[in-house]
Amino acid sequence: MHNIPSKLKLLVPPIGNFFTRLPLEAAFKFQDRKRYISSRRFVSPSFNDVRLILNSAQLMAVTTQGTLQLATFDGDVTLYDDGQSLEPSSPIIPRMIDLLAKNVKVGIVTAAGYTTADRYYARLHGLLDAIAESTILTPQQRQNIVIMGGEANYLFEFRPSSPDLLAPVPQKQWLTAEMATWSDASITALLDVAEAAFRDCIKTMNLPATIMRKDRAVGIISSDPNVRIPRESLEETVLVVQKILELSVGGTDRHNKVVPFCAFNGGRDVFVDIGDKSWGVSVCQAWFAGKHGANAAPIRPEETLHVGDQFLSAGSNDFKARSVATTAWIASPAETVDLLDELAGFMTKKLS
Amino acid sequence: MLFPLFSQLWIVDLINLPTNKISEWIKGLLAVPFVLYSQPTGVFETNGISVAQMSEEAHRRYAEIMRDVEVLVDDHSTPFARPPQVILS
Repeated sequence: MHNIPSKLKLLVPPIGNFFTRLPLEAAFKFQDRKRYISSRRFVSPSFNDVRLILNSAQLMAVTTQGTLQLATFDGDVTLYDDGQSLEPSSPIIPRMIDLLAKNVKVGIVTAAGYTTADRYYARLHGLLDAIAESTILTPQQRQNIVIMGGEANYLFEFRPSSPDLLAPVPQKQWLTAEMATWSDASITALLDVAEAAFRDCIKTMNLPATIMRKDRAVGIISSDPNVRIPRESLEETVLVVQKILELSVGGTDRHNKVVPFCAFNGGRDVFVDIGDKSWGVSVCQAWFAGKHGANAAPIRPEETLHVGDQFLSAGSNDFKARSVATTAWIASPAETVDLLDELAGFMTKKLS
Repeated sequence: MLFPLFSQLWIVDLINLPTNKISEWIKGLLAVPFVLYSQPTGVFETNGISVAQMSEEAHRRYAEIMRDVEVLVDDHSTPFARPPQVILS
């Protein structure tokens, strides 16, 4: 039996479901005070204005209707500029420490798929060192950060005694029941098809790129680090590879007969990862809840906020998190700083 | 002629992402009061409607629209009453 669609569904057919209310009027007034939208005479309310209003509404909702338990962040463009790392001087670091001090769990859910802790330490050392040296965090709060790499493939927890301050968590400790059904054979078979599709793209578009194959991902990277592959070629590659994969696995990236995957434009490269950020965020939700006992219910979507920049380009891997969490869409690390200040403001307001 | 149609299908696929779609839709709603109430000539005029009045009026209208969308979202999230069922005897 089908329900009658809501008026909003009729007006905006692709609309999804919302995990919280969205206090849009209050959020508009908040952003109007910051951006003077109503004082403009020549430039109408823009897409960016609306995006920021929606972000504020979402932050107000997760802090006032409920209590924010988990904040997950994308890496590149969200925490640091594309291809860079989180340096000790980053203004994001004190704000992340503040979030941890407020007992919010933090997950860094990134597409960067390294198998070893030292590579993540190299990207995130500013934050990890700050957590290790912080005098305001309790030992328990220090454990409230995890790194989920390769979208949903490698989990690392904080380990003060390790030289890289991170320790890999064995897969069997965190794989959800659904993920445990993804067999190694299916994963290899899917990556083989993807690799062939990438080779095809390199040939047809004469891309200055080489294939990079990992155990849970395959992609193309620029063969010369100083040469950027044009955005259009990256987008085309994502769409070609995605379509070929969809046809060969008999379904969509999320629902198919082989294994879920995620093809996306990483800004300078294109990758196909096994799973996507919805599983990455789900693992964080279950992992932190699991510390309170094996049968504890996972952190709920309305108690989770995922912050990322990829909501629009081909594959848009941050958008995938929208199915398991509320989301905020930022466009640069500077916007993440503003967003974290806004969040801290709303959380303090609730407490007072 | 098949190619433009084909490539359009791809584009539709991309821009139909809901997050993007609702932002574009709200932007469209806000464009109406902007067109009706913005005072582009206010840069030169000092009499008539002041810029401050314009901004107040635009703020009120924008806020009203956001309130209306908020109500639509609430309605969208409310479980529906089951429609009357046709019973065939």
